[in-house]
Amino acid sequence: MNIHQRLHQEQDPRARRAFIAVLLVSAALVGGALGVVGLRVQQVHLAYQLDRLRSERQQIETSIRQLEVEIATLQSPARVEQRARQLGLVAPARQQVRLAREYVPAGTGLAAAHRSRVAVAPDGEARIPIR
Amino acid sequence: MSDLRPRVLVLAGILALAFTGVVGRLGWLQIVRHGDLAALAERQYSRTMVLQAQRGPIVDRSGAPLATSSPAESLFAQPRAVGDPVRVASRLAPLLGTPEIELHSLLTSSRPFVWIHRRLPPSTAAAVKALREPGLGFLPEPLRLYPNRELAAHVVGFEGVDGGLEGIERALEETLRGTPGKAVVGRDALGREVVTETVLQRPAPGQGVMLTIDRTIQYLAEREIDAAWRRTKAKAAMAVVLDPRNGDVLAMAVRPTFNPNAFLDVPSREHWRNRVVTDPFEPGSTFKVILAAAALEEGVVRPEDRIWAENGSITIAKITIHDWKKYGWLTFGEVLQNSSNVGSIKVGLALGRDRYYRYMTGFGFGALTGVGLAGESRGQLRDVSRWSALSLPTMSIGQEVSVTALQMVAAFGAIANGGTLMQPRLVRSVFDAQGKEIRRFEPKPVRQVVSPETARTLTRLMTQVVAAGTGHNAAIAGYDVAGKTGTAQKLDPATRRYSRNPGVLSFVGFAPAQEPRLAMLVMLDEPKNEKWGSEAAAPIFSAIGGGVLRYLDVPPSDATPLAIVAGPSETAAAPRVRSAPIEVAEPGSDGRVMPELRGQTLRHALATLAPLGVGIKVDGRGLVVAQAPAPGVALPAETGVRLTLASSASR
Repeated sequence: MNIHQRLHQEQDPRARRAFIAVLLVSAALVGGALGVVGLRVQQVHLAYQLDRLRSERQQIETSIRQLEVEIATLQSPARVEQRARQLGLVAPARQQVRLAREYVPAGTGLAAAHRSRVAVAPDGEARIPIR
Repeated sequence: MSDLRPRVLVLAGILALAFTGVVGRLGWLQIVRHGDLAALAERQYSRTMVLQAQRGPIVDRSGAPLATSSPAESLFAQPRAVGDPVRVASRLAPLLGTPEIELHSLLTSSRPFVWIHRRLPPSTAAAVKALREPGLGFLPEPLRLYPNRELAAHVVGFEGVDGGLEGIERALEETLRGTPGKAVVGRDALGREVVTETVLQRPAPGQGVMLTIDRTIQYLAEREIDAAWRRTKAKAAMAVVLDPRNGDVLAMAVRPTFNPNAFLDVPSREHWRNRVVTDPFEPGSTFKVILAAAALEEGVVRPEDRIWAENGSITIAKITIHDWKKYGWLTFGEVLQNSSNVGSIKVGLALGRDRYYRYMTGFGFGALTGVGLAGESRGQLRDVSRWSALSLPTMSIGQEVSVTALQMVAAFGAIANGGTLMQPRLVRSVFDAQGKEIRRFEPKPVRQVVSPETARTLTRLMTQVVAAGTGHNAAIAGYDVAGKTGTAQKLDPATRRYSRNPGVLSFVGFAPAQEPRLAMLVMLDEPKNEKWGSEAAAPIFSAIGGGVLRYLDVPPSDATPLAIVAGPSETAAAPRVRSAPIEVAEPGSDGRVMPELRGQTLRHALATLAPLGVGIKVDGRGLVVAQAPAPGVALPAETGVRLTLASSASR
């Protein structure tokens, strides 16, 4: 061996393969760990989001129920009558109420439909409409 | 080296021993004493709470809420976590309206958990949360609300801390209450509140109940009953409205009453009592209808049969019973029409005790109606074997027998329903939290008490009571009313004789007589300034009945219907709004004259034509665009008027 000759170490292919395998496994482990951590962070994030949405839904449901109660209170007959009287409305007098029977003209000339605007007409009282 | 080895072994032994000790202790704490210590820890830092389920709503027959639950929050404290009880109490007191000293004692309690205020209004809860005081927390608890206040209070009842206490709230407690859930209340290692995350079991809401009550009819009944109760200063007043066709209770109005939102604000608990089902009373003359039904069905008497009314008094078993007026000969119809005691007693004696008793029980007296309300009375109807010599005559005029208002109106409903007694129905259906019907209660016929023929005859006689007899104040314009007045004295417990003071004044009837849509009882108990049922109770029947029939769209029997032809109008004429007042054409000497109606609304045109009394046919909708006959043409007697209407949209 002269001075120009350099020592060259032949790489062991098995050691190289082992090194790559360790590297890959390590990378996989780290990647997996990072993935788990990421998922965990995402899970926590989503949990917060879910919680916020749940709370929002609860608030909306609460509002709906409170509004339903308010509607029921506002629609109570005593209040409606009081407001109607304040507006100057009165119950119609007897002569102000007219009984009307409604007929739908049909090809046969007979009343095809028979419904009342003011009151339900008993059967058998349908008249042939003038046309 | 040889010196070192025993030392290492000793050290290893000591370490092994220490480790074994630690493991042993761990095992002791974690396994053997786990239960005790876990319970102790939970007692110290957390507590399992019952989460109340949302109670099911109670609605009327059209779905309008009569009782509903609103989410509210209840404030609690964990005294050990409260920083400065004095400061917290002073900050909370003005918000809650609770004395500071009371709050301080709660906040310094030795218990790990104390309720500070249950079911706070949302605004107060928000104000307390804004204080951000450690040691305070909230749990959801539904608040029961009755949006119509006193309306139907006796039917709906109310809810106390332990569930329904009166009315439907009590009767259907199992259905309404739902299943409670569980939550753990506590704090984590950083002192943060953990409430929502530790709900172990969510509460299942209760089922809703739909009643047969109609909110509007109930209101009409309560409005009139309330006015009468105040005017007459009666001890109590009530009205019950029933649909005789199916037994549906449409209204049950009772005075005195209470507001179920503040049910403790009453002078006496008597106000809570639903007297319609709990308080039996001697019905008096209204019971003569039951006697008449039995006598007609058994053929003992016919409407035209003449009865000698003994000039106003009859003596039986040494007791003389009077009529309010001296009558001579009366037909059976007139006996009922004039409410003759003597005539009724004679019919009762002819009928006999066994047959009369059979019909009384047949009509449901002496038995529960099955309406399902707590505290219902059977009334008092003694067995025939326990009747005295005076029992049959006095029962013939509605004494010595006591009935509830519901029994009475159900019996009259049977006559209105062709003789078939229907079980009074108060609950129509049960529905789940999504509003889906899960159980329905169908109308239930109890029995055929009298034949349809007898029911029709009796209805005719009762119609005469209102048209020309003691019940004339119950008449409703445009409708035939069948009914009977009642004026009953009360037994004075001191003297054991009937008191002379006004007792029970009532009217029971149904309308329209030929095709009944409502059966109603009106009763005033001991009114101070009224003496007769015909004067006190009958006008209330008329006022409620008139409103109810109009509300139910029942056509008056004397109204000539107006024919309206629906559908698109064939006329091409454009409507022209006419705002000037329309003058009604005066009929000439030879008859009536057709007025100008073009441009008028239907309402305006009908008002113009009303005085002429002509038949009217209407075609189309909107304003009058054509009329026949033409304006100014004399109207022959038999000719009707035809109006053609059109709206701008239909052009």
